[in-house]
Amino acid sequence: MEWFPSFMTFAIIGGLGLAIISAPLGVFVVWQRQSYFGATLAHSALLGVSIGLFLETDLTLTVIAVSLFVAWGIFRLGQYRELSSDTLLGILAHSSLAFGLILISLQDNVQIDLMGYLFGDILSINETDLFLITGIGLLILIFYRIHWEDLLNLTLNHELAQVEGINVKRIQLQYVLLLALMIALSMKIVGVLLVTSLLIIPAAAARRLSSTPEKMLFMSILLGIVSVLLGLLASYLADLPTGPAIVMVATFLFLALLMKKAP
Amino acid sequence: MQITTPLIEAHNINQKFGDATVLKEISLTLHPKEIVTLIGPNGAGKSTLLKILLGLIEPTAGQVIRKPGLRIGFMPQKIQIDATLPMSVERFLKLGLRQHPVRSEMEPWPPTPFLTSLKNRLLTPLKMFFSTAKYDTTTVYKIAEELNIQTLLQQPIQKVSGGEMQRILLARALIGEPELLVLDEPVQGVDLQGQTELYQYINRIRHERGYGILMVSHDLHIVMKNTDYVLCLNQHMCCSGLPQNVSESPEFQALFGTHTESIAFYEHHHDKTCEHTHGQPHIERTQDPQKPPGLVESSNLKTPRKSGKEK
Repeated sequence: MEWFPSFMTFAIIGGLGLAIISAPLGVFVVWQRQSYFGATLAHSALLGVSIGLFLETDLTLTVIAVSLFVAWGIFRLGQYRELSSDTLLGILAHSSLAFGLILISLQDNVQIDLMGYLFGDILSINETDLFLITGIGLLILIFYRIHWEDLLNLTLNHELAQVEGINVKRIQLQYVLLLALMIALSMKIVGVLLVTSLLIIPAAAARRLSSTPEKMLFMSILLGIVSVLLGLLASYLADLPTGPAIVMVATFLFLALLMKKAP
Repeated sequence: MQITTPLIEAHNINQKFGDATVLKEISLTLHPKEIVTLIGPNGAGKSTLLKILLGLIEPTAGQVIRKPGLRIGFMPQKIQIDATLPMSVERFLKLGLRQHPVRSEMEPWPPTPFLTSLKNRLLTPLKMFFSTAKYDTTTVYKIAEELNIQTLLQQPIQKVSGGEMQRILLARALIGEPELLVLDEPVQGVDLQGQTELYQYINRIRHERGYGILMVSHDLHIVMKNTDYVLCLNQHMCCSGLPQNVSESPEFQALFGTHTESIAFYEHHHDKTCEHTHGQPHIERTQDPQKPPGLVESSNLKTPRKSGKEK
């Protein structure tokens, strides 16, 4: 693997950016037990890739559009149907993965590196991605500044939150759409199959270090940053695939913290 | 009876889930300082009615009128909090301080002018974020003390016992200084001593603070004592009225049996008397001289209870 300084810079900045924006979403994924939801969105991102290739549109934007659509769809289905969300998400995750793979295989003229989408290719990060990450970071910052306590309240109990005057549906939808955006972007770095790990592993690891929700958010950001930096370093030194290397570091951190007693 | 504006009124509520009728022609009115208790067997639609009154679900037919700007304190039946969420009891209670203006379909008329509403929309969230530290937290400690949960404040909320959790949830419902308290089985999982204390506390605060209280209960004895009005629900309104009268009505006895000394011992009958009495308060006394119903004795307001649970 050849490393060019500019790619390396992009990789580091992009990776750090993602670590920072995934933490606030990740803690709520963990608190609300939605890791399967994240996985479903990630799988549907691959469908986005194949649709993008099929229609010859910009891949990043297509993936974002498809993810947003799927997120909205899941949200709506969850509202009206009393289907077990577990089953629903399982169906959506694997059917979108299957459709995505079929759509790719039908296109003989395109040679794409499927591995790059499944496991990520951090070296493919370009300026557009950095702008998008910054933009979404800003959106998330604004959203959390306004709705942090609302989100906590609706995590505690939806009905209580709604009776207390919180617009539960709207906030939940906004949160889900931000999650979809984040997942669409992080696909490039850690790949479809590993996207959720960036959300949940740092957050889960942070649990042992935190006594308040805010502290857990902060620790989650910190652990995410450490994972990305050490993962990139390991990838560089030992010539490991970058996405898996980042996830590996995060997992080691999680395991190490598991030994620690909860506060 | 006071001549005050009702806090909440429901008119001819019907609710269907698919083909199943859950509620049929239910009406009720609740004034300040009043305690209304909903009783009924499992699956009678008590929780559904509660959700409709709270505005959590839209009824299939019928109308709910809330007093404009009504502040509701809600105590859910149970609350499940994931162990990964680090949250102390104290924080949980403080999160309840931020009462938002209650949204409801019944907007006050005339509607707020566009500019004012725009200003509120932009400024309120900002104000709320920056004023986190400025909430008056004394209420939290005052209520915690009243409910005797001060010692729990620093504990993780996932670690408290069932009975403690009920008191915490009640505290949370009270923290927003509500006008209407809605309690879904408030003494569930609380021991007998604790039940009596909780009910006495609830009874006291409605007099002291003038809250209207709507609660769902399985327990027929202790609730009956302080309740002003009982609604016995079994999809339709089986019977309603003053507690003594309800407990003596044949519909009630058909539904819960006359051996109500043991609370868990009711059977659910669909007999004729119950079928044709939608919404009719039954106040006539029907007592069988040979076999006096147990509940009349135990729920009489003046008679001291034999079990000694009440002082």
